[in-house]
Amino acid sequence: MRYTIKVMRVLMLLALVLAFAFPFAWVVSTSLKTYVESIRFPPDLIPNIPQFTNYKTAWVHIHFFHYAKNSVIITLSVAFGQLLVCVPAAYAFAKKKFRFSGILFALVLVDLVLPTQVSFVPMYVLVSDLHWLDTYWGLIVPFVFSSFTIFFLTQAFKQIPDELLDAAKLDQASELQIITRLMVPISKPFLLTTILFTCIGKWNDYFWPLVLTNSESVRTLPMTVKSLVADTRGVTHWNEVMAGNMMLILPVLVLYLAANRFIKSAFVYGIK
Amino acid sequence: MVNRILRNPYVLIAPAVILVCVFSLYPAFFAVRVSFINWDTVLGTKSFVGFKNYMNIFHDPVFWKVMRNTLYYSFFTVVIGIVLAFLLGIFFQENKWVDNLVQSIIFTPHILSSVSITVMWMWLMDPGRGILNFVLHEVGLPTLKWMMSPDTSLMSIIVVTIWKGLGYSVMIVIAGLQSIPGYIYEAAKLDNAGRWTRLFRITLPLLSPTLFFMFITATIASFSSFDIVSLMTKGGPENSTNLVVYWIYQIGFLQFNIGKASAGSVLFMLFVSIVAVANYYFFAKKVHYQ
Repeated sequence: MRYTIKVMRVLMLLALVLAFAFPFAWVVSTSLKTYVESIRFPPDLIPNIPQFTNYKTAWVHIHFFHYAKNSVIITLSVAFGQLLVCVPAAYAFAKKKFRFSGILFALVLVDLVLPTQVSFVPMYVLVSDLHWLDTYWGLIVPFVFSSFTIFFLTQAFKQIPDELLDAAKLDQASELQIITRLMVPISKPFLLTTILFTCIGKWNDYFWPLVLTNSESVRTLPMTVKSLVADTRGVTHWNEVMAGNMMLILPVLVLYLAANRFIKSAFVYGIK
Repeated sequence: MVNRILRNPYVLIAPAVILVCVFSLYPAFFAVRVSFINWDTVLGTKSFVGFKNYMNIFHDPVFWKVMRNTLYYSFFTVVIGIVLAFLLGIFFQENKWVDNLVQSIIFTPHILSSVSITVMWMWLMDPGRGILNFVLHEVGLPTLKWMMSPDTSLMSIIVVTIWKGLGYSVMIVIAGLQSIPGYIYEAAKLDNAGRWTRLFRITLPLLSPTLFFMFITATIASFSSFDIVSLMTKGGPENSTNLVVYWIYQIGFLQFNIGKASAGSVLFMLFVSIVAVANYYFFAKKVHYQ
């Protein structure tokens, strides 16, 4: 019995490596091939001479700097805005008693069951009425509110004992000091987690920029990488597409490897 | 002064409440209103048409095809996703290096942009030069047209969806497994309960709240799928992969029919709520909470 389980584990491991690691390896391999090598059939597993020039070509084709700048601006603004909006709200919901707090908290959480995909048509009309189409505002402001972040932070703040707050109040600490010197430092792991969440989600977002933007000025990195596939030259140069794809993957992948365990447990903790 | 203002909890929650009203609740109500209007975005004219937008939807054969696709897609991605996640969770739940390696590898697609994932899979599934067809050919199986044929296109996006979400589900299963106290298994062992007995009498019942949670969230997420359809197939060929959100997007943003698209959104909202409530009542009785 124990032996069978060991064998099954090994078989599953092999299947998983094949299904999950191989596609990534294939992307890396393709990104280093010449065009002729990339379309050769039967394919070679490893490129003959690694073509790092693909990366240079893709960098120029996707105007990497312009779009990465947009992605960074939007990602960081949303993350920072969420801190400004959600930290005080979560603090109030976790630590203050006030009328209607239950109803207001429920109201805030309604957003959890109304994802952007459900109401994007009226959202678009609203943003257009605000004259925010094709602007950073339209891509940022609707997302500085996140019911998920508020929910997550409220749970974290609730774990901080009330005695600490009382002690701080005895020492004449102001509300601002309680938030910035007490709540925030103590719940740092949770805050970092939500920031990471938000950043990864925004960096990867495809849906909202697609709906909202018509011009290239505020479009983001995923959209330009996608545009490599439908190449103006009429044929898809998969080697260059994959080089561009690698540039989109790498920042998140590096972040993931650096904070691997942290992110994994955060994603799991976040939903519980 | 600042301190006095900040002491008021309503001030602290005001930005959040205002934003949720403006960007979440208002759009939902607005969608209901617009769904009764014929709105020509080109001419800018609006006229009240009652339930005509809804009638249009029900008489649209594409709508029924889209609904069928969405149910089919949801059923397979949710069921296969949860079964696989459960199996992998059971097998790779420990904290040894192999388990960690597996968890990390299969979790990676979840944190990457759907653009990266779909671009990768479009290349793997390329009917002419893709490595998948090469493998099929090498082992003597007939090659497939993947996303290019209406027969296999929905299956192709189901595969990619499961692939992308699997690692996340596995992590949830593992978190659920780790919350089951070890002493229950110890007690069962003392009573000579075998592996299978423990799996079906302890693990499965105690994991059921987790599986229930996964079922609800995965169902809603699969109904809301957009990226993979938009990026890989644009609903084609012959609407074989058109799912409800992409279909609403087509009506609103490619055909500029805001009224009909809003009616679609309203139906979709209703549908999601009904599923969530029905799931809840159906499963709540069968789920064991500790």
